[in-house]
Amino acid sequence: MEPRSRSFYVLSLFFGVFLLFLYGPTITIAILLSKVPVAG
Amino acid sequence: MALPTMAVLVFFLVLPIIMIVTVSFWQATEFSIIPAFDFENYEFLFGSNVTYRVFFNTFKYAFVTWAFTLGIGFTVAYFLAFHVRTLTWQIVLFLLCTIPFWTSNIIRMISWIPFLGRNGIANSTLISWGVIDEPLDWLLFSDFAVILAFVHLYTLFMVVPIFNTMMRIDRSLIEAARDAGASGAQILWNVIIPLTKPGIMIGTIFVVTLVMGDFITVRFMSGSQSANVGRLISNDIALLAYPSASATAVVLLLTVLIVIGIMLRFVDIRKEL
Repeated sequence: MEPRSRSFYVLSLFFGVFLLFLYGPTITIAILLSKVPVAG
Repeated sequence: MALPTMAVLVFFLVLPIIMIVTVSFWQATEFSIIPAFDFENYEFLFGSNVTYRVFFNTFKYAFVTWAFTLGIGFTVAYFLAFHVRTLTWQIVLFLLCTIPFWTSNIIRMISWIPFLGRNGIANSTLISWGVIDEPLDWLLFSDFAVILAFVHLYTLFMVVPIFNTMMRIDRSLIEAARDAGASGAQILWNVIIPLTKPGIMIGTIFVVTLVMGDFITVRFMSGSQSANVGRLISNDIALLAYPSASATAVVLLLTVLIVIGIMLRFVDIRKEL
């Protein structure tokens, strides 16, 4: 198989950051929710 | 065969627009709406400085959001279409991008608030790292927050059409360009970008129309310190000033149509459709 070019790794990093950007706020909410005591 | 489609379009698109245009000429007092035909609402709209400021704000949000979504969307689509080798991985990674969109826009937007707030995660992290001494106030309830939320909400609307167009590009064209001695940048500039134009244009239409019509994002993320045309309409509706809201909606509709008309002069999106 042809070796990967350097641009592949740069774009993979960009894609990873993009995913973090998409999921980040939702993950933040989930983490904060897990710290809130639930009345019951 | 075309009749059901026509009926749906007439009932759900043409009739509501006719109704909005009609109501825009009516008059309203504090407690009643009077069917009439005068230009009072339009005169008020075009005679007020607020209208021009709000339209300027709307264009500013649309343009900056478009620029960011295009940059991010194109790069992501390019990575998925040309650097991910197997179709299975392309589908998996693409689906991974769509999962956050399974929940509501408002929830995704509001989830930025605990992140960007004065005592939020971003400020706390920057302070703990020693990057800043005081919390940054402009992270939330500012134009920065509005545009960040818009980019977060609408980037996928740019990724999807661009990715779709890129997947249709004949790979032998790229191979031919490479054989002819073109560098990666030349292939991108002279082959991929021209062939991706219809996708870019469809994504642009999605993003620009969505941003120009949005009002809730501006309200929440600017902390009601900023306004766009959508908010102007929303405020009029809250005050039961439907004729005024309709007049603003008609002007917004015409503005968006003119913007789209100008864009379509440059690219023939029928190729894509």
